[in-house]
Amino acid sequence: MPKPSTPLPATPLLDVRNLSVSFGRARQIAVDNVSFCLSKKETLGLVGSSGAGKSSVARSIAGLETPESGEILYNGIHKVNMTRLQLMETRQKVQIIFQEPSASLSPKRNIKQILLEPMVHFAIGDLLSRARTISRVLNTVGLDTDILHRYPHQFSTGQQQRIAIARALVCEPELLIADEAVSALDVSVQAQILQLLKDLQQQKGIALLFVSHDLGVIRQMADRVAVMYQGQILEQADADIFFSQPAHPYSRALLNIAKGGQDQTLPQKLIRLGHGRSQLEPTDGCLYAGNCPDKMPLCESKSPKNYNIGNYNLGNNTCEQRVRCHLYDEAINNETIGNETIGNDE
Amino acid sequence: MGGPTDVAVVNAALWHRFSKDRFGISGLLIIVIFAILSLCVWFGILGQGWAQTSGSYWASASMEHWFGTNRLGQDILDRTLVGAATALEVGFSVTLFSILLGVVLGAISGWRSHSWLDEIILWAMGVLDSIPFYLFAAALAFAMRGQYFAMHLAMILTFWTTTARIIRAEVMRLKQREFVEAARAIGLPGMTIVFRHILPNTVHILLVQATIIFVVAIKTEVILSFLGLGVSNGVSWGLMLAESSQEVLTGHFGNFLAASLSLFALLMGFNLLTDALQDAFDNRGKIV
Amino acid sequence: MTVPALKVSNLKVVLNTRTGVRTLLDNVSFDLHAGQVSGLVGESGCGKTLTAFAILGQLPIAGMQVSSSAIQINGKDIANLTDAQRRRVLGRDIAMIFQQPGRALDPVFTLGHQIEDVFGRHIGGSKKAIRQAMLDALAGVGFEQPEKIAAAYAHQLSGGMRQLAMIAMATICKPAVLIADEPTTALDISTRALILQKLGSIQKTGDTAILMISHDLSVIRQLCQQVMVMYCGRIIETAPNTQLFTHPRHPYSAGLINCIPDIHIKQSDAISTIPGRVPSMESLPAGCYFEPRCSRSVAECVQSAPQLLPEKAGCVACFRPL
Repeated sequence: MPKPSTPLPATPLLDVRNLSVSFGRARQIAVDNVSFCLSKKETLGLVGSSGAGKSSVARSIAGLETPESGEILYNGIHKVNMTRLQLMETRQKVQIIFQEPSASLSPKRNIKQILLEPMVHFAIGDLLSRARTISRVLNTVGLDTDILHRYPHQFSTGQQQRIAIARALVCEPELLIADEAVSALDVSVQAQILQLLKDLQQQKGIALLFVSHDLGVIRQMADRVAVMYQGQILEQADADIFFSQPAHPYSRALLNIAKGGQDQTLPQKLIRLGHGRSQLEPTDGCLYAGNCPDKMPLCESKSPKNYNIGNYNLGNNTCEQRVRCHLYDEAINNETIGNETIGNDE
Repeated sequence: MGGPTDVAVVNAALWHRFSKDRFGISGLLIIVIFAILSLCVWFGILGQGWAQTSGSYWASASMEHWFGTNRLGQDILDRTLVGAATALEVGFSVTLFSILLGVVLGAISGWRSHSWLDEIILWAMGVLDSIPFYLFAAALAFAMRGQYFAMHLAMILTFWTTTARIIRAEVMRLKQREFVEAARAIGLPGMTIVFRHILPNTVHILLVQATIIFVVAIKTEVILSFLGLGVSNGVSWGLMLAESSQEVLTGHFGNFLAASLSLFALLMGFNLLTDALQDAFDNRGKIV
Repeated sequence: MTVPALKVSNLKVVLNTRTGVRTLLDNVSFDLHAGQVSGLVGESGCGKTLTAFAILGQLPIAGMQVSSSAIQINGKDIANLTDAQRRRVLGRDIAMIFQQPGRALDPVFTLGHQIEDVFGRHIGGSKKAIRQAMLDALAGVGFEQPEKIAAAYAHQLSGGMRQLAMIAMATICKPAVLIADEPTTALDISTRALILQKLGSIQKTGDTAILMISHDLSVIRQLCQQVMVMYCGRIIETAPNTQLFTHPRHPYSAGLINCIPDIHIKQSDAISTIPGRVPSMESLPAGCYFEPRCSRSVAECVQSAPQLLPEKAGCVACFRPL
């Protein structure tokens, strides 16, 4: 049964507005004017190819990168306006799980030290309660307490990722960012970790920002999906709508490939030297225009805005889909339709 | 990739690999012997008569003087033992302080790479590396009016740069790893991350670096003392070698042999230890 | 019965550790035929890459012992060669492409130089002929401007392009056998499709036998005609593609296939998993390796290891296949 998309509560847990991130002396654009919301107990899937900017978005929210512009609001409060205490609280409530489990655990620290560190830093509990929390959390992730004296390299990747999740859980997070957290895992281990994340969401009401390039995983985990391409979000929709009726040509191409179709055009266009965009060379027009099969002349010169595509009725629920594509600009569509078919008055 | 095979590779004990290395063990043994002898000297058990002149000059080896005597009738064995103590003391203190200085400055430089602080530290390293060392030592000895520690200071102030460069590179490499990002994500301060998470992963490098600096310090002390810029009131192998440079021309090799053979033995021991340590730490491609 | 392009028989690799002798590969046998892609599927640490290295003669690494009754390319033995003889075979009769193309390519030489090097060593010819062969190879994998790529260095290209260059380098001498070790794992979805397309077209020419090593079942499904499933150093099932994915016989294969997240339908109840973990090398069970995690195990499974026996169109090593 598809998750109902109730109207967003007054203050979503996470509210990202016009986030832009660039880095390096050449001012490479990693994230370009990205906006989305995330509520409690909800999973937003952030998809796209590598270099699309998904990780930069995740890391900016986690506080690892400073955005160039835009606002990140947590529980309604702009991060920049937070007091030191509030900022520390936010750091505690927002936890991130990384892609490489072996690299995300400090090699010369044992598991006990790794799990205690955030608790000590955030002053969670006291000596006794911390020990209890650690055993409770290890139990939740499916590990024994006798692992505490061991070191990360003594565990398999699956176990290491569980330890990383345990480290996040000791902080009692409200938002968990999974940055390609299962991409480096074998499929059977991946299934276990995904199930664990789902259980955690059910039991604790944790919101999940799930970054992945694997659409199959996203299908199983996400309530809503946002597609990124070269730093921009091209489409945001409820998961069911996205997977059945993708709006943006890029989304359609991605799904086509993921479902095993034979899209001939997309792969060929990749054979190009060079890297991403730079602020120093501004581009007009839609970023995807170069590869788009439905390209119109307008697409090369004018950058599309976000257009809301109706409210589909899926059973008893109304859903939302937002796409950044000229094809859905009503004004243009009316014109085109008028030109082509029914013969409206121009 | 994780998996059963890799665990076996990683778990092989450092000591186990090291203990199989015969050269490494013999190197360690040599150093331990010298260390024990030095401790005996410091505690007044051995070598106390190094300054005592006796009547018999240039005596050959006898029951009373195992290595014979020098030009002033001083017992060469005693002087050799005290020389060993000097060598180890210089080596130890120079190594300790130059590594400490190098680690701290290298860590700050690496964590804040490409900032003004980094630029200053790099500039300092460049300047110190450009100064000819023995001129620097001479200048310092002069400025400190021949104080004993002028020699140590000269070495510490110039030797820290190699360690700092290595540590800087390691910190720059490791700070991109996810475990550092995880620490940053919870808001840990930079220096806490560096000392708690990053530096412990450089211990193997520092250990090898320490043995190298030890050797260089001893050799440098020998040369400085030979030049008259080092030990003056005590005795060291360098001084003995300086003395012997004239003696050898008249056919008296006692001093020369004692000093140079001891020096050779100690340095050889360290070199063997360094190689063995490097091999033991480098477990790539080797499965126990 | 045509001679298989690659024949591997009873390949066994053991490792001498402080705590005993560990079996890394246990009697691995399979045949590869020209014009066919065979997939070797399994999870991390099961021994897939080790198999590839054993075939290439890159083992033993210290402590390992390798034995086999046969490793042959088109009937010619390649297991017992001298170093010089092996160097003539590698790159010419058998070639390999790796998971991280950025690491497998030499950063200080241009791609053109590296590819010409391979061709020059094995086939040779005039400078002009070698350069032309190199450009043809690059054009053959799909580069529209081979001269540009030939003059470029590895770091200037994206992951997908590097992988294509590596394919060009591996196939320039038209080897009988091509081993692809996780070639698409480090790439994103669209580049992955491109690489798989290229490998598919190599297969269709009919001259090369491809061994595709991967832990990604969806990639295997797309490309391979024949699939071998490996678990803890043993091949536990071989089957044609369609049979494996519609009716897997071994409980592990079935479990693995069920674990693939379905892109079409969201599962409302739990995501299906295989309980437990892959056993570590030190604690392998005495009988069937998969038994501790298997819902169908019986007493026999604990006591003895099942042999790989023919079943329908493939083989399976199980006392109670599905």
